[in-house]
Amino acid sequence: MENIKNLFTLKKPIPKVEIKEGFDEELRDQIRVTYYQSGYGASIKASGEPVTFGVGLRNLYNSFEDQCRKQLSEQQRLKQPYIEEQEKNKTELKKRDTAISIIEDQIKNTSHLVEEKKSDMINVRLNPEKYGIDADKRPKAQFYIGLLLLLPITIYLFVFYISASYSSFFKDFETASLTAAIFDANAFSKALSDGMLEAIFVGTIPFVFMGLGYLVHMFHKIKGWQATMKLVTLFILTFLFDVILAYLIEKKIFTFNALVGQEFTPYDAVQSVNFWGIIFAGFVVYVIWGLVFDFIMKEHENVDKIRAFIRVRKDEIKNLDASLEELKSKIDSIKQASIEFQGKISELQTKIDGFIFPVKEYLHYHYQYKEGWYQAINSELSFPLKQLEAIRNQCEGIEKEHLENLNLTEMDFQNLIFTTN
Amino acid sequence: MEKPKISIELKSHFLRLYQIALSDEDFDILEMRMLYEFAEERGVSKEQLNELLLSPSNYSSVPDSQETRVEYLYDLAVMIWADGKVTEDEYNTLKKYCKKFDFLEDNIVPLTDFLLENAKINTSKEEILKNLNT
Repeated sequence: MENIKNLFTLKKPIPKVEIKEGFDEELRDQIRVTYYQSGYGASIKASGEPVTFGVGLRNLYNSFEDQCRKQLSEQQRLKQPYIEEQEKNKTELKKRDTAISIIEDQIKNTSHLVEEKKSDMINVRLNPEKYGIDADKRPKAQFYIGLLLLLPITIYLFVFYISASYSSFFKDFETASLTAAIFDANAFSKALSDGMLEAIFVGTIPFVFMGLGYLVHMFHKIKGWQATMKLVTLFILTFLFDVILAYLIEKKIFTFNALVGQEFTPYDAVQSVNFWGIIFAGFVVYVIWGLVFDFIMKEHENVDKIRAFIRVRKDEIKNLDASLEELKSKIDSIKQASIEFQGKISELQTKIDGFIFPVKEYLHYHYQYKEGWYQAINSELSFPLKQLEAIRNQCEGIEKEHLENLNLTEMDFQNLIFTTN
Repeated sequence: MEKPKISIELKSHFLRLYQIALSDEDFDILEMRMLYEFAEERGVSKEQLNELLLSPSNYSSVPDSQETRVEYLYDLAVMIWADGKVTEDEYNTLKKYCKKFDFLEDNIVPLTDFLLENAKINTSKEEILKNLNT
């Protein structure tokens, strides 16, 4: 336990060097009296003569300044506030420097991030897998090839279903030629001449198939047995629809050719080449259309994925740029502040290096000397009053001039600082 | 090892320590940054640190009483252990504070080790301070 306690032992505090104020005060008082006496004595000797007074004042100033320069500890005392102020400024400067180095690092990191994002934008096209995008390297080309195939197939489906639905639902085989039983080149115009509703019916039927194809694509995207079931149902439905169309056409042709008493049966339909022709020309092409459609939708999504990736990166870069700007302006203002602190520090340094002239103290002694001088004029000189008055006035002028020369007339500060020794 | 929770009190202790470091000529900018990151990692908010970093210095000095000094240092040791490891930088920082807090030169390393060992096994602060008074 004793060992642990010893661990916490503090160093013995170093006794501070105290400036002996008491002693100083005594000394000061002594000096003050000395100045008074010296003024008094000199005045008697010179009979209060103003020019001598001027010389005396100059001597006083010089000896006081000399004395101050020699008193190093006194100088140290006077400089203490400046040293403390400088210390404070140095701390502030260090803080700013730390902040600058932290922000500079942040700027570096942010710029690096921006560069990274920019290269991501370029590389994502070449190497989408790297960025977790499951896409072909050239989705665009494949998309356009798919689109090129899809367009004619779509037109084909339109033509086929318009004509097939017209043939099965509206065509009158008694008047029309049999050769055009399945495919009727004039199906739409005929439907139009039959009536608006008929034209709309045959014109919109292909969209039902496209809609089915679109649904196939959508269900394809969803995983799970329910989606698969729906998919299979859709295909069966479409197939059945085609079968019905083919059956209706086949029935019409059969009825047209039928002898009396002959009945059209599904068996007849299955045996007919026309029946299968209609199914294949319709359903199989429809399946192909669905597959191509599915394919180009996927490619389009791939293009979209890459575009979205790039868009996100662009937004990110924009945000990073904004924060970069902010950091830069921040660092500028901190640098500005840091320069100010540096200025203050060096300004204080010149003060610390320089010599501090205690103006107040000097004036105190100066007036003591002056008081001594005037007292001597008043009590020791036996001149007429008028002459004494004249001497005093002249002395006053000399004293004023002296202080003006030293630039000490309007004293609102305690110390005067000479920046060089 | 389970991370000890860093209380608000601990964080404010750290801020005071950081302030002391800032007003010390011995700490250079790099060390200051290290401290900064060290605090940030342990959840002292960036705003608080920024405020400290850019505010005019409110003079903070080494605490007077021996007890408070030990308390501060122990708090720092606890913070150092917060991530379950002691890096060399962290060790040196603690050493530096021990030195700055005027502990005997010969005791700096053993004191640093003592504080870290106790912080590791979660000795309570009261327990540590008891050593002073016995």
